[in-house]
Amino acid sequence: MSADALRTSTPIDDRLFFPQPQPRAGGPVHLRISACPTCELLAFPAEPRCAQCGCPTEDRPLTDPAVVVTATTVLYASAESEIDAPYRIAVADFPAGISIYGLAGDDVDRDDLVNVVGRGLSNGEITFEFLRADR
Amino acid sequence: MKNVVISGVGIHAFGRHDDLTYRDLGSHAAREALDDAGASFADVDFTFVANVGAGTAKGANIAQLLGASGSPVISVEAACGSSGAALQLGATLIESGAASCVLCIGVEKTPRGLVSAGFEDWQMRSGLGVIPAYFGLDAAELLATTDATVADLADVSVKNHDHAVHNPNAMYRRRVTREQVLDSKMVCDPLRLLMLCSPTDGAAAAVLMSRERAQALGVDKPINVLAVSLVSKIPTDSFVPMAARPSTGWTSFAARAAQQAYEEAGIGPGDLDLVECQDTDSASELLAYRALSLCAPGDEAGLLRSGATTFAGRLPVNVSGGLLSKGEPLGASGLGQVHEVVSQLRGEAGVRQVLGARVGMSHVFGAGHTASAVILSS
Repeated sequence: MSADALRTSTPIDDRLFFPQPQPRAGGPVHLRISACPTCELLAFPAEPRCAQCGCPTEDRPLTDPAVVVTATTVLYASAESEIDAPYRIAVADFPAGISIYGLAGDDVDRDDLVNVVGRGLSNGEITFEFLRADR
Repeated sequence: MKNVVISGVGIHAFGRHDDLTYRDLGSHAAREALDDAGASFADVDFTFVANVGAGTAKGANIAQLLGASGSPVISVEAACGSSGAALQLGATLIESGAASCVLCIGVEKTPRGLVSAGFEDWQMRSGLGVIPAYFGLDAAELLATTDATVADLADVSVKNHDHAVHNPNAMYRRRVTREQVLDSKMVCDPLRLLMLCSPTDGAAAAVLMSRERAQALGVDKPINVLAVSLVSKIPTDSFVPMAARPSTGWTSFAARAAQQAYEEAGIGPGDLDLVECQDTDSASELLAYRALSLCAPGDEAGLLRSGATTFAGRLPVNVSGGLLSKGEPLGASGLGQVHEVVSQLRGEAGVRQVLGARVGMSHVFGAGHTASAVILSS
Protein backbone atom coordinates (compact mmCIF):
# COMPACT_ATOMS: atom_id res chain seq x y z
CA MET A 1 0.00 0.00 0.00
CA SER A 2 1.38 3.41 -0.91
CA ALA A 3 2.10 6.07 1.67
CA ASP A 4 -0.57 8.26 0.10
CA ALA A 5 -3.17 5.54 0.45
CA LEU A 6 -2.19 4.94 4.05
CA ARG A 7 -2.77 8.59 4.82
CA THR A 8 -6.22 8.58 3.35
CA SER A 9 -8.63 9.28 6.18
CA THR A 10 -5.74 9.32 8.64
CA PRO A 11 -6.06 11.88 11.42
CA ILE A 12 -3.55 14.64 10.79
CA ASP A 13 -2.21 14.27 14.34
CA ASP A 14 -3.31 11.61 16.83
CA ARG A 15 -3.13 14.08 19.69
CA LEU A 16 -6.05 16.07 18.28
CA PHE A 17 -8.80 13.44 18.31
CA PHE A 18 -10.31 10.63 20.31
CA PRO A 19 -10.34 7.49 18.16
CA GLN A 20 -14.15 7.19 18.37
CA PRO A 21 -15.99 8.27 16.42
CA GLN A 22 -13.34 7.64 13.77
CA PRO A 23 -12.49 11.02 12.25
CA ARG A 24 -13.75 11.28 8.70
CA ALA A 25 -14.52 14.19 6.42
CA GLY A 26 -17.86 15.74 7.22
CA GLY A 27 -18.46 13.49 10.23
CA PRO A 28 -18.57 14.39 13.91
CA VAL A 29 -15.27 14.22 15.79
CA HIS A 30 -14.31 14.52 19.43
CA LEU A 31 -11.36 16.82 19.94
CA ARG A 32 -9.02 15.55 22.65
CA ILE A 33 -7.88 17.96 25.34
CA SER A 34 -5.80 17.24 28.41
CA ALA A 35 -6.75 18.42 31.87
CA CYS A 36 -4.48 18.74 34.86
CA PRO A 37 -6.09 17.18 37.98
CA THR A 38 -3.98 19.44 40.19
CA CYS A 39 -4.12 22.95 38.72
CA GLU A 40 -6.99 22.35 36.24
CA LEU A 41 -5.08 23.76 33.27
CA LEU A 42 -6.58 22.59 29.97
CA ALA A 43 -4.41 22.03 26.90
CA PHE A 44 -5.00 21.45 23.22
CA PRO A 45 -3.47 19.47 21.63
CA ALA A 46 -3.48 17.14 24.61
CA GLU A 47 -0.18 17.01 26.49
CA PRO A 48 0.89 14.15 28.80
CA ARG A 49 2.28 16.58 31.38
CA CYS A 50 0.78 19.85 32.55
CA ALA A 51 2.67 22.83 31.14
CA GLN A 52 1.92 24.78 34.30
CA CYS A 53 2.72 22.43 37.17
CA GLY A 54 4.24 19.35 35.54
CA CYS A 55 1.68 16.85 36.84
CA PRO A 56 0.47 13.96 34.66
CA THR A 57 -2.71 14.96 32.86
CA GLU A 58 -5.97 13.21 31.98
CA ASP A 59 -7.40 13.16 28.47
CA ARG A 60 -10.95 14.44 28.00
CA PRO A 61 -13.23 14.73 24.99
CA LEU A 62 -14.26 18.26 24.15
CA THR A 63 -18.02 18.61 24.11
CA ASP A 64 -19.58 20.94 21.55
CA PRO A 65 -21.33 23.13 20.58
CA ALA A 66 -18.94 26.04 20.95
CA VAL A 67 -19.37 29.76 20.45
CA VAL A 68 -17.20 31.61 17.92
CA VAL A 69 -15.41 34.58 19.46
CA THR A 70 -13.57 35.77 16.35
CA ALA A 71 -13.09 34.73 12.73
CA THR A 72 -11.24 35.83 9.62
CA THR A 73 -10.69 34.74 6.04
CA VAL A 74 -7.30 33.57 4.82
CA LEU A 75 -6.77 34.78 1.27
CA TYR A 76 -3.16 33.63 0.89
CA ALA A 77 -2.24 30.15 2.11
CA SER A 78 1.27 29.06 3.05
CA ALA A 79 3.16 26.70 0.75
CA GLU A 80 2.79 23.87 3.27
CA SER A 81 -0.98 24.19 3.47
CA GLU A 82 -3.06 21.24 2.24
CA ILE A 83 -6.07 23.50 1.76
CA ASP A 84 -6.40 26.14 -0.91
CA ALA A 85 -7.23 29.76 -0.12
CA PRO A 86 -9.60 31.36 0.39
CA TYR A 87 -10.79 29.67 3.53
CA ARG A 88 -12.05 30.74 6.91
CA ILE A 89 -10.51 30.25 10.37
CA ALA A 90 -12.04 30.98 13.75
CA VAL A 91 -11.55 30.79 17.49
CA ALA A 92 -14.32 28.76 19.11
CA ASP A 93 -15.00 28.86 22.84
CA PHE A 94 -16.06 25.51 24.33
CA PRO A 95 -18.11 24.97 27.48
CA ALA A 96 -15.15 23.21 29.12
CA GLY A 97 -13.37 26.57 29.35
CA ILE A 98 -10.96 26.43 26.43
CA SER A 99 -10.97 28.25 23.09
CA ILE A 100 -9.61 26.43 20.04
CA TYR A 101 -8.16 27.85 16.79
CA GLY A 102 -9.35 25.97 13.74
CA LEU A 103 -10.74 26.00 10.22
CA ALA A 104 -14.32 27.17 9.89
CA GLY A 105 -17.14 27.01 7.41
CA ASP A 106 -17.43 29.84 4.91
CA ASP A 107 -20.45 31.32 6.70
CA VAL A 108 -19.10 31.11 10.26
CA ASP A 109 -18.76 34.38 12.16
CA ARG A 110 -18.56 35.76 15.68
CA ASP A 111 -21.27 34.60 18.12
CA ASP A 112 -22.23 31.63 15.93
CA LEU A 113 -22.88 28.32 17.66
CA VAL A 114 -20.69 25.69 16.00
CA ASN A 115 -20.03 21.95 16.05
CA VAL A 116 -16.73 20.26 15.28
CA VAL A 117 -16.55 18.00 12.23
CA GLY A 118 -13.79 16.27 10.29
CA ARG A 119 -12.35 18.12 7.30
CA GLY A 120 -10.53 16.30 4.51
CA LEU A 121 -7.33 17.82 3.20
CA SER A 122 -5.89 17.54 -0.29
CA ASN A 123 -3.37 14.93 0.87
CA GLY A 124 -6.11 12.73 2.30
CA GLU A 125 -5.50 13.54 5.95
CA ILE A 126 -8.32 14.56 8.26
CA THR A 127 -8.18 17.74 10.29
CA PHE A 128 -11.12 19.49 11.96
CA GLU A 129 -13.33 22.49 11.29
CA PHE A 130 -16.12 24.40 12.94
CA LEU A 131 -19.50 24.37 11.19
CA ARG A 132 -22.59 26.27 12.22
CA ALA A 133 -24.76 24.16 14.48
CA ASP A 134 -27.94 25.32 12.73
CA ARG A 135 -26.87 23.91 9.36
CA MET B 1 19.09 48.91 36.39
CA LYS B 2 21.55 51.51 37.70
CA ASN B 3 24.90 51.13 35.98
CA VAL B 4 24.13 50.63 32.29
CA VAL B 5 24.16 53.29 29.60
CA ILE B 6 23.91 53.27 25.85
CA SER B 7 27.01 54.96 24.47
CA GLY B 8 26.38 54.56 20.77
CA VAL B 9 23.79 53.47 18.24
CA GLY B 10 23.92 52.61 14.56
CA ILE B 11 21.51 51.55 11.88
CA HIS B 12 21.36 50.37 8.29
CA ALA B 13 18.24 51.68 6.57
CA PHE B 14 15.39 49.15 6.57
CA GLY B 15 14.12 47.99 3.18
CA ARG B 16 14.90 45.47 0.49
CA HIS B 17 18.64 45.29 -0.10
CA ASP B 18 19.06 42.43 -2.55
CA ASP B 19 22.67 43.39 -3.28
CA LEU B 20 23.78 43.20 0.37
CA THR B 21 24.33 40.23 2.69
CA TYR B 22 23.36 40.05 6.34
CA ARG B 23 27.07 40.46 7.09
CA ASP B 24 27.11 43.75 5.17
CA LEU B 25 24.03 45.03 6.97
CA GLY B 26 25.09 43.93 10.45
CA SER B 27 28.65 45.16 10.20
CA HIS B 28 27.45 48.51 8.86
CA ALA B 29 25.19 49.08 11.86
CA ALA B 30 27.86 47.83 14.27
CA ARG B 31 30.56 50.12 12.90
CA GLU B 32 28.21 53.08 13.08
CA ALA B 33 27.36 52.28 16.71
CA LEU B 34 31.01 51.82 17.67
CA ASP B 35 31.97 55.09 15.96
CA ASP B 36 29.08 56.81 17.71
CA ALA B 37 30.39 55.54 21.05
CA GLY B 38 33.97 56.50 20.24
CA ALA B 39 34.96 52.88 20.75
CA SER B 40 36.50 50.13 18.67
CA PHE B 41 35.59 46.46 18.44
CA ALA B 42 38.67 45.73 20.56
CA ASP B 43 36.93 47.55 23.45
CA VAL B 44 33.97 45.15 23.37
CA ASP B 45 33.79 42.40 26.02
CA PHE B 46 30.79 40.54 24.56
CA THR B 47 28.83 40.76 21.32
CA PHE B 48 25.24 39.53 20.97
CA VAL B 49 23.84 39.18 17.48
CA ALA B 50 20.05 39.07 17.26
CA ASN B 51 18.83 37.32 14.14
CA VAL B 52 16.19 34.81 13.09
CA GLY B 53 17.05 33.34 9.72
CA ALA B 54 20.74 33.59 8.85
CA GLY B 55 21.83 30.15 10.04
CA THR B 56 24.88 28.83 11.82
CA ALA B 57 27.74 31.09 12.96
CA LYS B 58 25.97 34.26 11.90
CA GLY B 59 27.34 36.30 14.79
CA ALA B 60 30.89 35.17 14.19
CA ASN B 61 30.56 35.87 10.48
CA ILE B 62 29.63 39.48 11.20
CA ALA B 63 32.31 39.85 13.85
CA GLN B 64 34.98 38.81 11.35
CA LEU B 65 34.19 41.96 9.38
CA LEU B 66 34.69 44.06 12.52
CA GLY B 67 38.22 42.76 13.14
CA ALA B 68 37.54 39.73 15.29
CA SER B 69 39.15 40.23 18.67
CA GLY B 70 38.53 36.81 20.20
CA SER B 71 35.96 38.16 22.67
CA PRO B 72 32.76 36.09 22.90
CA VAL B 73 30.25 36.50 20.07
CA ILE B 74 26.87 34.92 20.77
CA SER B 75 23.94 34.58 18.38
CA VAL B 76 20.49 35.13 19.86
CA GLU B 77 17.20 34.01 18.33
CA ALA B 78 13.84 34.90 19.84
CA ALA B 79 11.80 35.58 16.70
CA CYS B 80 10.68 39.23 16.51
CA GLY B 81 11.82 39.66 20.11
CA SER B 82 15.44 38.76 19.30
CA SER B 83 16.76 42.30 19.75
CA GLY B 84 15.13 42.56 23.15
CA ALA B 85 16.75 39.30 24.21
CA ALA B 86 20.18 40.51 23.07
CA LEU B 87 19.78 43.80 24.92
CA GLN B 88 18.65 42.07 28.10
CA LEU B 89 21.65 39.74 28.04
CA GLY B 90 24.06 42.60 27.43
CA ALA B 91 22.58 44.90 30.05
CA THR B 92 22.48 42.13 32.64
CA LEU B 93 26.14 41.29 32.06
CA ILE B 94 27.11 44.92 32.61
CA GLU B 95 24.86 45.41 35.62
CA SER B 96 26.34 42.29 37.21
CA GLY B 97 29.89 43.54 36.67
CA ALA B 98 30.81 40.70 34.30
CA ALA B 99 31.35 43.12 31.42
CA SER B 100 31.82 46.84 30.89
CA CYS B 101 31.20 47.09 27.16
CA VAL B 102 28.71 45.00 25.15
CA LEU B 103 27.84 45.34 21.48
CA CYS B 104 24.30 44.32 20.51
CA ILE B 105 23.58 43.88 16.82
CA GLY B 106 20.21 43.10 15.28
CA VAL B 107 20.19 42.06 11.65
CA GLU B 108 17.87 40.35 9.22
CA LYS B 109 17.54 39.40 5.57
CA THR B 110 13.90 38.40 5.61
CA PRO B 111 12.76 36.12 2.78
CA ARG B 112 9.87 37.33 0.68
CA GLY B 113 6.50 35.74 1.33
CA LEU B 114 4.89 34.47 4.50
CA VAL B 115 7.12 34.23 7.56
CA SER B 116 6.78 31.14 9.71
CA ALA B 117 6.38 31.31 13.45
CA GLY B 118 7.02 27.98 15.08
CA PHE B 119 3.79 26.33 14.05
CA GLU B 120 3.45 22.58 14.40
CA ASP B 121 3.31 20.49 11.24
CA TRP B 122 -0.40 19.71 11.66
CA GLN B 123 -1.13 23.44 11.88
CA MET B 124 0.82 24.11 8.69
CA ARG B 125 -0.89 21.33 6.72
CA SER B 126 -4.29 22.35 8.11
CA GLY B 127 -3.87 25.87 6.73
CA LEU B 128 -3.51 27.37 10.20
CA GLY B 129 0.15 28.39 9.81
CA VAL B 130 -0.48 31.88 8.48
CA ILE B 131 0.72 34.62 10.82
CA PRO B 132 -1.37 37.50 9.38
CA ALA B 133 -4.48 35.40 10.02
CA TYR B 134 -3.79 35.49 13.75
CA PHE B 135 -3.42 39.26 13.56
CA GLY B 136 -6.69 39.32 11.64
CA LEU B 137 -8.39 37.28 14.38
CA ASP B 138 -7.07 39.65 17.05
CA ALA B 139 -8.12 42.68 15.01
CA ALA B 140 -11.64 41.31 14.47
CA GLU B 141 -11.93 40.60 18.19
CA LEU B 142 -10.73 44.11 19.03
CA LEU B 143 -13.40 45.61 16.78
CA ALA B 144 -16.07 43.36 18.27
CA THR B 145 -15.23 43.99 21.92
CA THR B 146 -14.33 47.71 21.95
CA ASP B 147 -15.53 50.80 20.12
CA ALA B 148 -12.61 50.60 17.70
CA THR B 149 -13.58 50.70 14.04
CA VAL B 150 -12.01 49.80 10.74
CA ALA B 151 -11.44 53.52 10.22
CA ASP B 152 -9.36 53.55 13.42
CA LEU B 153 -7.25 50.72 12.04
CA ALA B 154 -6.70 52.78 8.91
CA ASP B 155 -5.82 55.85 10.97
CA VAL B 156 -3.03 54.02 12.81
CA SER B 157 -1.45 53.39 9.42
CA VAL B 158 -2.03 57.00 8.33
CA LYS B 159 -0.37 58.28 11.53
CA ASN B 160 2.68 56.08 11.26
CA HIS B 161 3.19 56.76 7.57
CA ASP B 162 2.98 60.48 8.38
CA HIS B 163 5.71 60.02 10.95
CA ALA B 164 7.96 58.12 8.53
CA VAL B 165 8.15 60.90 5.98
CA HIS B 166 11.10 62.39 7.84
CA ASN B 167 12.85 59.13 8.71
CA PRO B 168 15.60 58.32 6.19
CA ASN B 169 15.85 54.79 7.61
CA ALA B 170 12.23 53.88 6.88
CA MET B 171 11.24 51.59 4.00
CA TYR B 172 8.15 53.60 3.09
CA ARG B 173 8.29 57.39 3.37
CA ARG B 174 5.11 58.43 1.61
CA ARG B 175 1.98 59.63 3.34
CA VAL B 176 -1.16 57.59 2.86
CA THR B 177 -4.77 58.64 3.32
CA ARG B 178 -7.47 56.77 5.20
CA GLU B 179 -9.16 56.10 1.86
CA GLN B 180 -5.98 54.62 0.38
CA VAL B 181 -5.62 52.31 3.35
CA LEU B 182 -9.24 51.24 3.16
CA ASP B 183 -8.94 50.69 -0.60
CA SER B 184 -5.79 48.57 -0.33
CA LYS B 185 -5.99 44.84 -0.87
CA MET B 186 -7.67 42.74 1.82
CA VAL B 187 -5.24 40.31 3.44
CA CYS B 188 -7.04 38.85 6.47
CA ASP B 189 -10.20 40.75 7.28
CA PRO B 190 -10.41 43.30 8.71
CA LEU B 191 -6.72 43.87 7.96
CA ARG B 192 -5.78 45.29 4.59
CA LEU B 193 -2.36 45.49 3.02
CA LEU B 194 -1.57 49.00 4.28
CA MET B 195 -2.55 47.94 7.81
CA LEU B 196 0.21 45.31 7.88
CA CYS B 197 3.97 45.77 8.07
CA SER B 198 6.28 44.33 5.44
CA PRO B 199 8.89 41.84 6.58
CA THR B 200 12.14 43.26 5.19
CA ASP B 201 15.92 43.61 5.49
CA GLY B 202 17.81 45.84 7.88
CA ALA B 203 20.15 46.13 10.84
CA ALA B 204 20.59 48.21 13.96
CA ALA B 205 23.11 48.16 16.80
CA ALA B 206 23.78 49.61 20.21
CA VAL B 207 26.89 49.81 22.36
CA LEU B 208 26.12 49.29 26.05
CA MET B 209 28.61 50.34 28.68
CA SER B 210 28.97 50.65 32.42
CA ARG B 211 28.87 54.24 33.59
CA GLU B 212 32.53 54.06 34.55
CA ARG B 213 33.58 52.78 31.14
CA ALA B 214 31.54 55.43 29.35
CA GLN B 215 33.06 58.11 31.53
CA ALA B 216 36.56 56.80 30.91
CA LEU B 217 35.98 56.88 27.16
CA GLY B 218 34.50 60.38 27.36
CA VAL B 219 31.16 59.33 25.86
CA ASP B 220 29.03 62.34 24.96
CA LYS B 221 25.34 62.11 25.98
CA PRO B 222 25.19 58.61 27.44
CA ILE B 223 21.59 57.37 27.64
CA ASN B 224 20.52 55.69 30.87
CA VAL B 225 19.11 52.17 30.61
CA LEU B 226 16.46 52.20 33.35
CA ALA B 227 15.07 48.77 32.54
CA VAL B 228 15.27 45.90 30.08
CA SER B 229 12.66 43.25 30.75
CA LEU B 230 12.50 39.87 29.06
CA VAL B 231 9.74 37.34 29.60
CA SER B 232 8.79 34.05 27.99
CA LYS B 233 5.31 32.71 27.55
CA ILE B 234 3.31 30.89 30.17
CA PRO B 235 0.55 28.40 29.32
CA THR B 236 -2.24 30.97 29.61
CA ASP B 237 -0.67 33.49 27.22
CA SER B 238 -2.50 34.16 23.98
CA PHE B 239 -0.23 34.71 21.00
CA VAL B 240 0.63 33.12 17.69
CA PRO B 241 1.25 30.16 17.11
CA MET B 242 -0.91 28.80 19.90
CA ALA B 243 -3.63 26.30 19.05
CA ALA B 244 -5.78 27.16 22.07
CA ARG B 245 -6.18 29.61 24.92
CA PRO B 246 -8.28 29.71 28.09
CA SER B 247 -11.84 30.91 27.53
CA THR B 248 -11.40 33.59 30.15
CA GLY B 249 -8.47 35.06 32.00
CA TRP B 250 -5.96 34.51 29.23
CA THR B 251 -2.81 36.54 29.67
CA SER B 252 -0.45 38.67 27.59
CA PHE B 253 3.30 38.22 27.70
CA ALA B 254 3.60 41.65 26.10
CA ALA B 255 1.79 43.23 29.04
CA ARG B 256 3.89 41.24 31.49
CA ALA B 257 7.10 42.49 29.87
CA ALA B 258 5.90 46.09 30.08
CA GLN B 259 4.88 45.75 33.72
CA GLN B 260 8.23 44.27 34.66
CA ALA B 261 10.02 47.13 32.93
CA TYR B 262 7.94 49.76 34.73
CA GLU B 263 8.66 48.09 38.06
CA GLU B 264 12.36 47.83 37.36
CA ALA B 265 12.58 51.44 36.22
CA GLY B 266 10.45 52.69 39.11
CA ILE B 267 8.24 54.71 36.79
CA GLY B 268 4.80 54.40 35.21
CA PRO B 269 3.33 55.00 31.78
CA GLY B 270 2.55 58.59 32.77
CA ASP B 271 6.27 59.30 32.93
CA LEU B 272 6.90 58.39 29.29
CA ASP B 273 7.56 61.03 26.65
CA LEU B 274 7.52 58.69 23.66
CA VAL B 275 6.97 55.02 22.82
CA GLU B 276 8.15 52.79 20.00
CA CYS B 277 5.89 49.73 19.97
CA GLN B 278 5.41 46.70 17.77
CA ASP B 279 2.89 47.77 15.17
CA THR B 280 3.14 44.56 13.20
CA ASP B 281 -0.34 45.56 12.09
CA SER B 282 -2.64 48.44 12.94
CA ALA B 283 -4.58 46.47 15.54
CA SER B 284 -1.34 45.41 17.23
CA GLU B 285 -0.51 49.07 17.90
CA LEU B 286 -3.91 49.59 19.52
CA LEU B 287 -3.47 46.41 21.54
CA ALA B 288 -0.02 47.67 22.57
CA TYR B 289 -1.66 50.78 24.04
CA ARG B 290 -3.47 48.35 26.35
CA ALA B 291 -0.47 46.08 26.99
CA LEU B 292 1.76 49.03 27.88
CA SER B 293 -0.98 50.53 30.11
CA LEU B 294 -1.07 53.68 28.00
CA CYS B 295 -4.86 53.61 28.31
CA ALA B 296 -7.56 51.69 30.09
CA PRO B 297 -8.68 48.45 28.40
CA GLY B 298 -11.33 49.34 25.87
CA ASP B 299 -10.10 52.90 25.37
CA GLU B 300 -7.46 52.09 22.73
CA ALA B 301 -9.30 53.81 19.90
CA GLY B 302 -10.13 56.74 22.17
CA LEU B 303 -6.44 57.31 22.81
CA LEU B 304 -5.73 57.23 19.09
CA ARG B 305 -8.62 59.57 18.25
CA SER B 306 -7.51 62.04 20.93
CA GLY B 307 -4.37 62.67 18.90
CA ALA B 308 -2.20 61.87 21.92
CA THR B 309 -0.12 59.33 20.02
CA THR B 310 0.70 61.55 17.05
CA PHE B 311 4.00 63.40 16.74
CA ALA B 312 2.49 66.54 18.26
CA GLY B 313 0.50 64.71 20.93
CA ARG B 314 1.21 64.25 24.62
CA LEU B 315 2.62 60.73 24.12
CA PRO B 316 3.85 60.18 20.57
CA VAL B 317 3.88 56.52 19.53
CA ASN B 318 6.09 55.29 16.71
CA VAL B 319 7.48 58.65 15.64
CA SER B 320 9.97 56.63 13.58
CA GLY B 321 7.06 55.49 11.44
CA GLY B 322 6.85 52.18 13.25
CA LEU B 323 7.09 48.83 11.57
CA LEU B 324 4.15 49.78 9.34
CA SER B 325 6.43 52.28 7.58
CA LYS B 326 9.93 51.10 8.36
CA GLY B 327 9.24 47.47 7.56
CA GLU B 328 10.11 44.68 9.94
CA PRO B 329 13.54 43.06 9.79
CA LEU B 330 12.66 40.50 12.44
CA GLY B 331 15.87 40.30 14.44
CA ALA B 332 16.65 43.99 14.05
CA SER B 333 13.32 45.62 14.77
CA GLY B 334 13.83 46.03 18.52
CA LEU B 335 17.25 47.61 18.16
CA GLY B 336 15.78 49.82 15.46
CA GLN B 337 13.29 51.05 18.06
CA VAL B 338 16.14 51.68 20.51
CA HIS B 339 18.03 53.61 17.83
CA GLU B 340 15.01 55.91 17.48
CA VAL B 341 14.49 56.38 21.22
CA VAL B 342 18.18 57.14 21.78
CA SER B 343 18.18 59.66 18.93
CA GLN B 344 15.12 61.34 20.44
CA LEU B 345 16.50 61.44 23.98
CA ARG B 346 19.74 62.97 22.71
CA GLY B 347 17.75 65.62 20.85
CA GLU B 348 19.22 64.45 17.55
CA ALA B 349 16.08 63.33 15.70
CA GLY B 350 15.97 66.35 13.43
CA VAL B 351 12.61 67.26 11.93
CA ARG B 352 10.85 64.47 13.85
CA GLN B 353 12.34 65.49 17.21
CA VAL B 354 9.86 65.18 20.08
CA LEU B 355 10.44 68.36 22.05
CA GLY B 356 11.55 67.84 25.62
CA ALA B 357 11.77 64.05 25.34
CA ARG B 358 13.48 62.69 28.45
CA VAL B 359 12.06 59.18 28.94
CA GLY B 360 11.20 56.68 26.20
CA MET B 361 10.10 53.08 25.91
CA SER B 362 10.49 50.45 23.25
CA HIS B 363 8.64 47.18 23.13
CA VAL B 364 8.89 44.00 21.05
CA PHE B 365 7.49 40.50 21.17
CA GLY B 366 8.31 37.39 19.22
CA ALA B 367 6.08 34.68 17.87
CA GLY B 368 5.53 32.05 20.46
CA HIS B 369 7.80 32.85 23.25
CA THR B 370 9.49 36.15 24.08
CA ALA B 371 8.53 39.73 24.86
CA SER B 372 10.76 42.58 25.96
CA ALA B 373 10.43 46.20 27.00
CA VAL B 374 13.23 48.76 27.29
CA ILE B 375 12.97 52.05 29.19
CA LEU B 376 15.61 54.70 28.55
CA SER B 377 16.19 58.20 29.91
CA SER B 378 18.42 61.11 29.00
